[in-house]
Amino acid sequence: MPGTVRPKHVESRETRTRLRCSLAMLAMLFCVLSVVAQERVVYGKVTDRRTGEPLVGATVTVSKGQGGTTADANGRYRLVVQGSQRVQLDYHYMGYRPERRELLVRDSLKCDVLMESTAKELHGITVIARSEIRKLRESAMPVSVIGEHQLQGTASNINDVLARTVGVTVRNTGGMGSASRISVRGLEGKRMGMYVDEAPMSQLSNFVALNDIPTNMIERIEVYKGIVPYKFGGSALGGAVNVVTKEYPPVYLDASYEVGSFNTHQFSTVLKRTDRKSGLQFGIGGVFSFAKNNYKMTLDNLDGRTVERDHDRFSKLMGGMSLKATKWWFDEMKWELIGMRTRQEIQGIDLDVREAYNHSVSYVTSLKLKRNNFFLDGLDFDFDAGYIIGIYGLSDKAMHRYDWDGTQLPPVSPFGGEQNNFPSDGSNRSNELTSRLNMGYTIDMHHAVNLNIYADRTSLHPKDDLMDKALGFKANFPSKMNTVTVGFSYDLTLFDGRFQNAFTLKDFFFSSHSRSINTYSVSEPEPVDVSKTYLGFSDAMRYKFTNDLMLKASFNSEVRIPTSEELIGNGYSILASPALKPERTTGANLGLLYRHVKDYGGLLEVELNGFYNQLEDMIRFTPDMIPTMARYRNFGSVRTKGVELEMKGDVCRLLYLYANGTYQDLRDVRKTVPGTEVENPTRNMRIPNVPYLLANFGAELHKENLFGGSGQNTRLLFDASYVHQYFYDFEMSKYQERKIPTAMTMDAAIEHSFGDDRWTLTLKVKNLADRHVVSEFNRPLPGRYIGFKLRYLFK
Amino acid sequence: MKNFKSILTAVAMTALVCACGSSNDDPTPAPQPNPNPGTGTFKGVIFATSVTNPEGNSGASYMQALTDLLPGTYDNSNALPVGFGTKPIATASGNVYVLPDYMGNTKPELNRYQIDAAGKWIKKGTLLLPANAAACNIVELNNEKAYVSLQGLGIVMAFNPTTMKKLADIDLNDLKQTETKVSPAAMIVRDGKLFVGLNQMNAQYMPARNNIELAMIDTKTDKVEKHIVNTTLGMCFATRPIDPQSIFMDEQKDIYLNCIGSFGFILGLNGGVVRIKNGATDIDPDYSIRLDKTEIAGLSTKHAEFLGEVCYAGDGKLYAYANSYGLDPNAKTNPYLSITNVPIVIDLKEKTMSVIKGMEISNPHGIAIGRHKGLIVFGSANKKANGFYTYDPATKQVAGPVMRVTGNPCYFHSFAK
Repeated sequence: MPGTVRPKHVESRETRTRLRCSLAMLAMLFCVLSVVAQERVVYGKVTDRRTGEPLVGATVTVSKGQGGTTADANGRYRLVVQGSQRVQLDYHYMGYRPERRELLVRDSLKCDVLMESTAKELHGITVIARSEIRKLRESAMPVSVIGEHQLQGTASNINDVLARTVGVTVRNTGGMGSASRISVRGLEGKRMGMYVDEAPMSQLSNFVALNDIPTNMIERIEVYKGIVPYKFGGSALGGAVNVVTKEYPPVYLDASYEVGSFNTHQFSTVLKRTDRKSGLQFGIGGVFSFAKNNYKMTLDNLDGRTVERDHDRFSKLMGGMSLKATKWWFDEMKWELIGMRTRQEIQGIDLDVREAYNHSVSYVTSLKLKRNNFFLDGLDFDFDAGYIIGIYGLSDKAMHRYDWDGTQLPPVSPFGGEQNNFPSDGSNRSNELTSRLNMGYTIDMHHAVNLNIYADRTSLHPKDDLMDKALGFKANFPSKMNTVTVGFSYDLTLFDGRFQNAFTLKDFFFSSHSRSINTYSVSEPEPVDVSKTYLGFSDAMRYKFTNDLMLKASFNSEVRIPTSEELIGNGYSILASPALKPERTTGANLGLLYRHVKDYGGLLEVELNGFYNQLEDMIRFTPDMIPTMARYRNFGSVRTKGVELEMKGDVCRLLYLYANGTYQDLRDVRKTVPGTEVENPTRNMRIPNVPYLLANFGAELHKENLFGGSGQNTRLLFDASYVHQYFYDFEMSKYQERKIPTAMTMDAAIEHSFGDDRWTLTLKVKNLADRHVVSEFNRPLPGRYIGFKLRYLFK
Repeated sequence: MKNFKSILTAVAMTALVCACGSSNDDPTPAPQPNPNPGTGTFKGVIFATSVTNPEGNSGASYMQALTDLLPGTYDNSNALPVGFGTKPIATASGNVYVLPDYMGNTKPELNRYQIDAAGKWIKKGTLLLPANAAACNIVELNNEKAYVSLQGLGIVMAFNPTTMKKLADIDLNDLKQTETKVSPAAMIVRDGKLFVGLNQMNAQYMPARNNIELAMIDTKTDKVEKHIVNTTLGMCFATRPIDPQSIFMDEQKDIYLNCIGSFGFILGLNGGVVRIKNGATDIDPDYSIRLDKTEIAGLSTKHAEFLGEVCYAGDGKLYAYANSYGLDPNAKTNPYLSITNVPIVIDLKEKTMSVIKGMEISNPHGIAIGRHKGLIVFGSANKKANGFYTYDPATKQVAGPVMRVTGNPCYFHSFAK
């Protein structure tokens, strides 16, 4: 019962009120919907394995006489299964070898089936196949896929899950809401593309991180390494994270509430309702996150004392709605509207910051259009457009600073401030329009082409009168930036699909306009206009030796267009760098994948990848000669070599294990100090402050009806993560002490669902051993976190 | 926004400085060397280099000792890490103080070392400083009292160098101008009075007016006795905070100050050299070397904007690195790569300046200057090499690099007589 859920750390009236509101919302939702029966939907497509042709009329039957159906004109089928259960589906089609799938149906799921013809191939037949062929082609990319189940359990958010993925590191500066940076194979930040359903997050990522997307809404997460699939567009070059959200059955309600240590509360809900007749799906959802993050931290730089974080309160409110039509000529037409509001206090480490905080309000609207056979058989049309408006800033107006002894200190400037060297009262505005068009045409089973155009227009309007006053002159200027990336791809499939190759040629164009004060001697800002274009390409191929064993190889030489902040500054503290060149990367990946599906449906997968990458003209943030100002510069060249090994599989029907390890060796390969003949003192040294040896291990023990009864499922989960110590500076001296120490953290959870997954209770413990962990230098992370999550799912 | 915390390194790194001057020429009342049986007396040299991280705005500095100025190539594998953006401070007593990073992000503690005859570092004590203090300069009064200036807090802290315990805070914040905060910089003791150069800095770390200001503190009471202000000489920013020798005395006990001005950024806010004559407590209104008005003989751009590093060598001769942005067209937009620091010699009596022929022009990181056995030693990070060069004032001969180093040679001090 919701009313029985009591948080352990409920202390303040404010917290109690918040909890009561959340529980009341849950209770109302349950009352409304608890009378409706539960159904799961198994759906998918039946196609010819070789040609991809839909097998019209193929029969699909459910074991134990629970009914069946036949595939429609497109090979699609749909079955309704009552309650959570393990089912066996049999697929039959004349002239084809029968197929059987054993599925644990706890949620609606998709099951596509490829059937093999028993007849000999007829000579000269050409068959147009679309989605399946393309799907297989894309698997030539180095990719890790995180499934829905991994998103539950010990994880509270996407970052928790990504951190366990091979080759991925997630580094946080604190608890919930803190700044975090995700890196793939050592390349991080802006080099990583962040996508939701293949649409770039772009400027949106200034206001909402992937981490803010409730895990309940996610079907899977794909982590691409090195090469970004051509359909995604944009100019990411370190890799990409694509969050794929769920397809929903006709009625769907998902609501969850988690309460945990450090006054943490997370509530999220999604309601989807589809009208069968019109095909219209209406959705509404929201997320509220709050945390005081008042965990104890040890100040290593300050006599090792332990203090409680006292100014790290984070709150985020996000609400959205969507309307999806599937019968309005387009196969899919979707409109979304999302609003977000965030407030985050700034936690001091060296000093006790008491007033400064960041704030933002943003609104996003987007439109998605999809149609296969777009005016032409075999031509697929996919279009996204989004508009984001955000208002954000730093409020730092305190007239006193304090140290951890409570001693009052003067502010950083006569006008106040606890940080930097000037106060802030920012109310900056940004507007962004993004659009992506993808047109794919499958010529025949051997050849296909694809055109992707991604365009983005950003304008920034910084405003901070208090900062201007403290600096003594107007330093905030508006700016605009446009980028267009055009990618043309050619897919080749040979040897009955065993060999696939995707070649992509990209053109990157960007232009910008701003004004900037470059030196003190210039009293009026100078106009900054930039317009540049670059070319890049990538190639990914795979060869299947057997159904289980595959070789993957890829090569790329691409550029990353500087962001608007890098190129034209932010209008106040970061100066324009019109001469900035894009980063260019040249990389290769070679991988071997063994994937075997056992008779009972269990999986065994082993993947080994080796990679090489050279990043030129690395863009770095550097302070400028004008104190308090900074700018981005091309500086440095980094070479990465590495290897990844991942193993995962069902040991038996009850036990699933995974383990992975990554060694990534990033080295400074500049020969000389720029502009001189002097040998670079850090040549061939490991790039500091980047982890290079990491590993993960996990186990899941799952059993249905462990405690008797029916419709219940219990999971015991354990995850361990290891990051070997790495130095904050270049490794030069044997006396060097500044480093990020080795971290070995363990998480555990017990999850029990009942009522055929309608209710799920999860008790989770993160950082089980309560270890002192940092992933960013001098930024202590939370100790042991105990959380309890209640999830209600109706469909 | 946290990145902006790093902007101060721009100041710190545009003209890194070094301590120089042999103890026998320094008329500052010097404490007696701390006797330490068994360690012997170190007669060699110490030097430091700085190496930046890939971001360029952070990094580490490394300090090491040699028994003599021994030609060779030296990496940092056996060097002690020291604060980035600051440099060690060696005193006549034989103490070597190591400050934390100027920009923070390291333990805010002051460590005192001594060196045995073989060049081995011996840690003698630690003083915990306030966070974000930006400690920059230390002077010793005697074995029981020394002062450390805390730029970030507007405070000079008195401490006992033997026990490394805090004695008192001397708050100078009341001396700030209306639009600036006050930051104590380099200091010197004369006749029981501590003269503290004051940097009045606005939010851009820049001076707002042409005031040369000092605080004069009575070392007996640790009270501010006088706020010294000069508004007539047309210069500002008294002393460079991380250059202990930017305030020094000559043989006549006249105090000289190297004023930084606005680092050459703001027209009209100038740098140069001024003095406080022996017996006086005001800046001599009749003596100055204004850089914007005094040509440097042999310099193609004729004028420098500020002296990034100075070292008084006696007999009115001041050796310096003079910064002239005109030497590099990209100097103002690329502080890390600009080659704009020219070794010069200044005749304080004649008020003339001239380039030292044969010495290389350096980037702003590698501008150490020191003295060793009659030679002037210049650390230089130039287009050809990173290392230490020597200049013989008697023969005017330049040699080097005598010692090649890894990183930017930012500090040099010799204990040799």
